[in-house]
Amino acid sequence: MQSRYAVIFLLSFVLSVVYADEHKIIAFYTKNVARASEKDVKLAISQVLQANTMETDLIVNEVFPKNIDDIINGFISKKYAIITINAVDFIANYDRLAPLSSKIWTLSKNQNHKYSTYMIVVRKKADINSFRFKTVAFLRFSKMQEIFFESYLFEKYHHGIDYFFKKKIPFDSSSKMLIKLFFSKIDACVVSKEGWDLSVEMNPQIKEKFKVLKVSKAIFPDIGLTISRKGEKKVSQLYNKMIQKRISIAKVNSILMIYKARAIVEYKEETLKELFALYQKYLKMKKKYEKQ
Amino acid sequence: MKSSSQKIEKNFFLTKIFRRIFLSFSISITVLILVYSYVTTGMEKNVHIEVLHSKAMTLANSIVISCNNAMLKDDMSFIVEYCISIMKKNSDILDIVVTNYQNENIEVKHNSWKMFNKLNEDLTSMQKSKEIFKMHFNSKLNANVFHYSYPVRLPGIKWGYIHIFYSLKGYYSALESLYKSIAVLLGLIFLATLLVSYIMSREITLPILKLTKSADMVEQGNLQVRADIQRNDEIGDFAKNFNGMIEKLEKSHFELEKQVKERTKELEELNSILDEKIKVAIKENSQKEQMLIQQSRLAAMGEMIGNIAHQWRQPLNTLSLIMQNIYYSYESGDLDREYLEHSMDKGQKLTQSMS
Repeated sequence: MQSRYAVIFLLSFVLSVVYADEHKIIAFYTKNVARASEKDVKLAISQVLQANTMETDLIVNEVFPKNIDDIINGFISKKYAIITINAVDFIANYDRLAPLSSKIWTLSKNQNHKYSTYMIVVRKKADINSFRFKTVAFLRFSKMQEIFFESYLFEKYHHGIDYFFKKKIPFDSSSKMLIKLFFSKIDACVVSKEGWDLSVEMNPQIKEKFKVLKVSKAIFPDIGLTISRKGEKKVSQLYNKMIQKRISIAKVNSILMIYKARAIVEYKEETLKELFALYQKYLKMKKKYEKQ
Repeated sequence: MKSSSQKIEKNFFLTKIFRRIFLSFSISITVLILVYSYVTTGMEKNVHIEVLHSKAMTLANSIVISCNNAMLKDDMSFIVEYCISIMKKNSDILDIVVTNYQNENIEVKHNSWKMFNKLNEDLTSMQKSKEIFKMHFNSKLNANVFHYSYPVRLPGIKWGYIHIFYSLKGYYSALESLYKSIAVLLGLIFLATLLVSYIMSREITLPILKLTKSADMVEQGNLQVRADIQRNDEIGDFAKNFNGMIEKLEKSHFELEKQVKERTKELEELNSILDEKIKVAIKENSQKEQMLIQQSRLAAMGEMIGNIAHQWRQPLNTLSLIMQNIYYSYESGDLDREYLEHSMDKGQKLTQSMS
């Protein structure tokens, strides 16, 4: 989830953190932020912050560090009240960040379910050996898809992606990947269940032509994670209030539109633990099988 | 005169001339508008069809241009993606079918897409060497469609065809809207036509009727009548001339009447004198006549007396002769009784005839 960045939606959250008598800084990691340009993201964030500052009489400063370590270290050192980073960055620094985190939110692309389910799809007649030196596709900026897929390969075939596939192609949507797979332009792909259902609905031939190698649990955040630091109760309260009462809804919606997201949802601790467990398992297998 | 004018204004629409003018105006304008509407509707239909044709051709060209590389590489996935993106942006397209020389055909609709090999009759019949289109009911899509077929030619090969099916809902909706607009417009124009025809007919009819009425009254001898028409056009001039003519006629009539009266008076006087003269003359004539009659009577009497005398002279002569004969007979001695009686008898007969 390195690439998917929920930078913007966090902005609204940030506003709530800072009161007029409390000067708060919110940090956004904007590198590889989905398909939105960094300029658009920064502009949207500034607008949301400005609107919320006016409504709540807060003093808020937003920063956009270029280095992820600066953000994480700033969060740990209490420099930043809230940070928005990729899921994979959070999971990779789980031990350091989780104890300091109060609440976590993410942007969801679907209103029916909060978190995504991933599916590994290949053509029905495909053989794992035929994958070698071929092409696999993932969603753009979705490192968690690669981790999920590689975990499957390690677990089943004791080899990683690079062993089987010569080329990794990023795609903007699951349905595009499935179309490419349908016409044999790629050999395997990881898609969201939502994208799969939509594609099957559009073309039932897909279900007949493909086989699903593995379906994940619904634990993957769609776009980025926004983490508030413990002790920042006002931030959480304001953020919740903002979601419930739709403060500056127009501005928040503009952020959702930039990220093509449908809703801002709270990311539960239990789900986070499952995600962390998957990552831990992946790291272990990677370490084990790549050494071989 | 005023009541007559009011009567004309009240009942002018019952006149033949009003009805003729009114019907001529309203029918002419209505026919013109109907013809114009018919022609306009036909042109509008053609414009809509031309727009659909143009849109379809532009779209087919854009598919060929955008998917040129994909077509050369036979990457149907790219074409599917492109067609899906087109469908998302064009709600009036119902279906896009792309067929290629390898019989790898794809069909993209709004909520679905598929790959198929066998082309149906509807598609094959539209695959000609030139772009063509037709409008028909497509049972597969269950809709009236504008089916456009575009042959795709890549350098060196006839690659395939692009079939675009536009919904005719917009077309029919536009036509329906057009028909409604025209119907409303025609209704309004018809009402306006009636109103305009009424006003124009009235404008033309009323002065004519007034002039006619005035002419009738003039014919009946009323030279004081005037056509009450105040207009600055030919009819106004005509009314003015008519009124002037009546005025002159009235004046002339008055003069004539005056002269007649004078002449009559003179004649009466002359008659009176003449009467006296005639009476005198008649009296004189009568007297003369009486005199003449008297004279005539006297003359007649004289003549009659002459005649009587003449008539008496004959028997008197005869009596004289009888007497002479008696004398001579006596002298000769031939007088006898018988002779005497005979002569007496003759004398008595003459006497009797003379009395």
